[in-house]
Amino acid sequence: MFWLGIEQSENIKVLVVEDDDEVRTAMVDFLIKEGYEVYSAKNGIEGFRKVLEVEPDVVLIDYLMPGMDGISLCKAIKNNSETVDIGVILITGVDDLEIRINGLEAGADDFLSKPFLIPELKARIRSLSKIKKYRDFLKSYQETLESEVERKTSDLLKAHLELKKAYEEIKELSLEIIYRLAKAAEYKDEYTGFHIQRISAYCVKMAESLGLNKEQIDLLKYGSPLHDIGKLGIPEKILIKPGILDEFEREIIKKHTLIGFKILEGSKIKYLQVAEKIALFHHERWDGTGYPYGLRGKKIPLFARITAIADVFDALTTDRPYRRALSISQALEIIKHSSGTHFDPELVNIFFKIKDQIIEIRNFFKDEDPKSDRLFLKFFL
Amino acid sequence: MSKLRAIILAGGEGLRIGQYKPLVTFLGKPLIFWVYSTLRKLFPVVYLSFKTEVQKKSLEKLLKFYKVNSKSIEFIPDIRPELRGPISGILSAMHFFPSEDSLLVLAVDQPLIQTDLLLFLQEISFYYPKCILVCQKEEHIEPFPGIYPCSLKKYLEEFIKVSEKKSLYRMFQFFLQKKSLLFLKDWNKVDLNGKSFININTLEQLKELEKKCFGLE
Ligand SMILES: [Fe+2]
Repeated sequence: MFWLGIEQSENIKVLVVEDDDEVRTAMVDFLIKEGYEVYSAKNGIEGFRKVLEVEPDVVLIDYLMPGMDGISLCKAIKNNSETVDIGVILITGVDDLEIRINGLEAGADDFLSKPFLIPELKARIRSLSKIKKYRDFLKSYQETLESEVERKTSDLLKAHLELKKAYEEIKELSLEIIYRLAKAAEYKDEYTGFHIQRISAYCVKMAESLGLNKEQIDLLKYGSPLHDIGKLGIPEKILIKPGILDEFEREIIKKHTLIGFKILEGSKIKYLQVAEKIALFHHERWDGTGYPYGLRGKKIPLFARITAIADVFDALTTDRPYRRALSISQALEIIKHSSGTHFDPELVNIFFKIKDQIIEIRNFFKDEDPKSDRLFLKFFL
Repeated sequence: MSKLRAIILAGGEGLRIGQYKPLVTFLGKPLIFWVYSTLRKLFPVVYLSFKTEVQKKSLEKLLKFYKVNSKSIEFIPDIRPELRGPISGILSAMHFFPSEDSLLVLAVDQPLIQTDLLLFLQEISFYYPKCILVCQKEEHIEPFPGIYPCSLKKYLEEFIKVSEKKSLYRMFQFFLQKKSLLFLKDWNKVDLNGKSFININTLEQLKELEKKCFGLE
């Protein structure tokens, strides 16, 4: 169905380039009668001008012409990207093999030797014009296709950007909720200020120094602030008791690891899956004397081992009801002393390697500074 | 589960002060009373280590006089009374409790001891269940109040066996070598002027301190 149109001769433009007036007129007359749309030129130069002007489907070129000869015109047509698809029939003398070879090199599509038979001419024109129409169609089809692809791509890009924006919004929202949730737990504790913020920042620095990838670092960054979420389930009078806890009270406090696990358990959100493990294991000790399970060494998940160091360091360098914050050097000495007993020695080494950055964080998130909260959200989100 | 036990060393002879030290009056009350009442703010039971039966009897008498609840006091007899100085008191207490427990050891002659310092020591002992924790003032080591884990009993016995001098200084050197000793230099974050460490060895010192305390009032 699609190709019916191009079989019909009235849609076909033919240009005849022939210096012999008689021959030219005869050919033009004949082709008009056959239903072609016919144009003519007396020489090569005029011929090429008409080629550009009327964009014929087929050009019949006499080989022997004064001035620009047939081969030159043929070359001119075939070397131009606008006209290269036009079918060129070169009319030569009888069996002029050398000229034919030259013609082929110049890009001629077909040859006719004078004198030629009318059916022969018709057949050549038909087949060449057909090829030209196919090419035209393909060309326009490709153009349509390209613009369609372009349109679809831009639609897709737009949709992608919108989706990305929505994703960012949701991510930001859930991260902020994580942060607020962690803060909620903190309110029950004696900690004030920016404990969880510093923990998160210390953990990130350690993870970076350990060479973890961006995704892992993010998981730790957003998972670690929830380490003490289980304190929500511990009675306040025990949590903030000023004196020394008795055995029973200490057992109750230890439950914050299991309660934290229960709160976070079974989430599909990967940050919470990490937080669940940190909450459960952040009081385990390298030598197996920690709680709740007394796990030993690398059986304790890495993120919990990292958080443990950050948690203790921050506790030591933060004011308590009965003491002011210990100096960084004292806190570091305590951490170093606990290497291999309380803490993973490898991680303690890392902690010391990035000591300066840790101190920077300590000074950045000062408990007394009301700006710290906003600063942190900026870091966190 | 490990416990922190509060011990007052009350087995000294009080040679320099001329009488049994716990009974020496400071600001109207016996020295031991001050340390005991500070500890009772934090611990349900306070342990008293003594060397001789005479010491124990006088302490009991004193407690009766002050109507101290007998349930809040327990006595720890000295298992090596022939050893002079506080080491035998510490060793006896280490034997008295399960090895996972830790001792918070106080001297009887530090009446101005601060509860906050004790809380600080117990906080740090939580991180080091197997380490002696004592405060360091510049170059000076303050042996009391200090944390002494019962798990170090074997080491302490070894020290007593091998060391000619059974001084605290030598003992600390020994435990340093065993990597079982940590000096806390930041005690001033808790007890700014180090009041807790002021100890009374002579009557002159006692009078001096009394004057200073009244001056404060
Ligand atoms: Fe915790």
